[in-house]
Amino acid sequence: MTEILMPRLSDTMEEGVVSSWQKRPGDEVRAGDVLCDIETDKAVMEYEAYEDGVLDRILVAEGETAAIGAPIAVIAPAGGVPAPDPAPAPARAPVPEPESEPESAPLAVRRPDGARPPSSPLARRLARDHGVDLAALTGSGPGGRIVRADIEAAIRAEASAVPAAPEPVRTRAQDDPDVEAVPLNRFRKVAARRLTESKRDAPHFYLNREVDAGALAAFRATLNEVLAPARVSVNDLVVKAVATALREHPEVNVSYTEDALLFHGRVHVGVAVAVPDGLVVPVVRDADRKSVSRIGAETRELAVRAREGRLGAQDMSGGTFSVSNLGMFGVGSFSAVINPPEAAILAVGAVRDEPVVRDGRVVPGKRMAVTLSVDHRACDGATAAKFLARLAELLENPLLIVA
Amino acid sequence: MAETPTRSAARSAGEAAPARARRSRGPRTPRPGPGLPQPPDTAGAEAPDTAVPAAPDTAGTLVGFYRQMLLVRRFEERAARAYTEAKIGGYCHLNLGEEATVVGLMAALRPTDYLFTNYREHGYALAKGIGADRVMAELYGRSTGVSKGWGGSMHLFDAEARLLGGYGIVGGQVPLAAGAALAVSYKGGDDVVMCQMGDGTTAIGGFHEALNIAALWDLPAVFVVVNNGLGMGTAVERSAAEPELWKRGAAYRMASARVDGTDVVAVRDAARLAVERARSESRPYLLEAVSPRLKGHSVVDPARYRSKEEKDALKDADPVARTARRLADAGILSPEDRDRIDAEVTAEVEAAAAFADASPQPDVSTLFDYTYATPVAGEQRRLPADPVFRS
Ligand SMILES: Cc1ncc(C[n+]2csc(CCOP(=O)(O)OP(=O)(O)O)c2C)c(N)n1
Ligand SMILES: [Mg+2]
Repeated sequence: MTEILMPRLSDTMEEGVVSSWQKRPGDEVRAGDVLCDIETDKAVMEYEAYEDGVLDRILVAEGETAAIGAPIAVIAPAGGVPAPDPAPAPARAPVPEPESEPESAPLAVRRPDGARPPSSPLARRLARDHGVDLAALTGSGPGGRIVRADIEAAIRAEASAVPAAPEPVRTRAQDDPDVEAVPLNRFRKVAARRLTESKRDAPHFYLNREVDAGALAAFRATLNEVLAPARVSVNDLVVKAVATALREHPEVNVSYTEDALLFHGRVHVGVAVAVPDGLVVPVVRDADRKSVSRIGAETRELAVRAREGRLGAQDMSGGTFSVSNLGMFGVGSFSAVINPPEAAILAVGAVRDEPVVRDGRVVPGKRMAVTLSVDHRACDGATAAKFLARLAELLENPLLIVA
Repeated sequence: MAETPTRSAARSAGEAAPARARRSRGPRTPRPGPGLPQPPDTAGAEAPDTAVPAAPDTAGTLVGFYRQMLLVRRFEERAARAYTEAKIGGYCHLNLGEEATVVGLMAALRPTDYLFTNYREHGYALAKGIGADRVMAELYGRSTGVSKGWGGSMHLFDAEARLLGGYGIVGGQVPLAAGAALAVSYKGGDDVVMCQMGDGTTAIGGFHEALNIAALWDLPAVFVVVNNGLGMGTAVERSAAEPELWKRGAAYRMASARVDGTDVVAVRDAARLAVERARSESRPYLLEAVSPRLKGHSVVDPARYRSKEEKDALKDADPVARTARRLADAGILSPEDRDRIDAEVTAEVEAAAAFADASPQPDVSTLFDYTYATPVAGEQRRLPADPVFRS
């Protein structure tokens, strides 16, 4: 029998949380197999087995914390005699011996009156995210340590304690079996805060415009023929046109602050991308200086990374204008919420087949609706309208976009 | 238009190129002057060995390479484990995946040749002949370690083995290696200086300065770029405008080549060509070995920037497993031999860990004893909590 100990996976780590077990009791284990994922103070790391064997028992359940060096599982020799006492895997971690507490654990562990109670890193993070006061909780973990389950219980308790008066008909997920409460993820939280801020602080006004998209669609088809197998989308052309128009209309490429209007010397266009659990806006930097195909390639790369959750903060910051396109979902037109601190956002609808009047005759044509949302503190109607007119001109004469 | 003097002409006209003092190293072909494009000596994945007619390798040599590679593998695995057991502190970068490159390169050196490396150097120390016990003890920070316990993982240093250091500053070793090659040149003899570095290092200014001066002054230096595709989490294509790094030699008219770093014999052959040219002609060389890094940048890096598919693909590229398969296919390595070698090197590594664990910590009073080899004016010997200014 070999005990698997909580590993130290960073220089500053004192304890870790088993965030998931990759092996179950009874599973065969080979050296190099991932046993479990350990959440440290810095990251979630895979932890691999050093020896072959069979996972006999799990001592620290998922979500539970253990100090460095504390046993978290037991591995039996491969093909060896079964463990004399095949104790079933406990659903919860048994309370480890007190001496397995980290010697260098912060003072809080001893908890003199009024001090912060001991807590796991995961619990601390959850508490921070949900505004739960650790000092008000009693931990159910080893030595009174506050663990994830305690925070979740506190969140539930708080949710059900809030009086339902303001919205009388709303039921709590807690009591209604038909409603599932899914905790907010990082994206949704950030988006919620920033968009609320935007709608609250930035007086939005909206300019609508219908663009004759016939030439744009034809141009895109030609481009894709010559660029094959690379492809550009209508949106790539829109991003480039926006960037070009912004370069010519610096009064739209601005940010409002209390003290001054900031004119941005560079044009960085954010492109809204739907990800499975939210919305992110990665930024194509210096879009005015990049070719359409380069913009396309970058946007697709950013979108792929966005969907895989691999965008870094630097990929999503620094935008000076954003484009949101719901055309691929058949949306004709819509208006978007400005992405602060930017001063405007363009909402792009689908390219539609429509009858158009050309030289006094009704002929088949293509149209696309664009809506510009503008922060009135930063920019006035006429200024924005001029920008939009130039943008429409570029979109209707797409050679100008690449000229 | 005035004729531009060639470099050799300029030099014979009296420019004080330090390397002039160098002993001659046998016949040299005159190099073309500016304007005559010089084709790279070798290109692509193979470096035809023209300089040294190599005798075919014996089974013993090949199995010896495998044994060394496996030693590096087991050593690094043990180091990773010791880190999780809090026996090793601080930074710890492993050669996992680079074993063929490490062993192939070291096989091309004589024991008297000098080596500079970056911080990912445990394997180089082993393959240069330093005992696993002294290397492990250094990782543990014990006084029996290569650097007497004061260097740690990134700063292995052993003058006797002519390992002139692992360096923690990216690119820090490259100008120093050029300097060492200049010293060799001055002193005479036919030693060669090899300087190992990572792909990310080729974007550091010192890399270009060192290669430039090495080429100008004909220094006997072999610069080796181990291209593991990543500088921490940044892919080569994102950090290098010319991601075929060996081509950078062209900027200095330096012979250069790229080699498959997972093939120990190919690496040895390519390195031997480079080393022997440096030895006999005193000409620098740039060798790029392409070799995967199997794990994160250091032991604390979960490498989330790699997808599951990428991680799985790495397993197929594992040079140790590949070498074992090849030797087995060639009928040189039986399964019994393989297991025996594994048991032997594992025992060696376990003994090294036990030795390290039993060794004493260095005494604080010796902290500054090895900072400088010679007295340095104004050297600060301040311990933490000592006053900055003494009155
Ligand atoms: C001058 C300097 N800049 C940055 C760092 C941080 N750093 C440490 S390793 C590393 C990546 C180097 O990559 P590469 O040269 O490819 O070597 P590898 O780690 O792949 O062996 C960086 C940026 C450093 N140590 N020194
Ligand atoms: Mg690298």
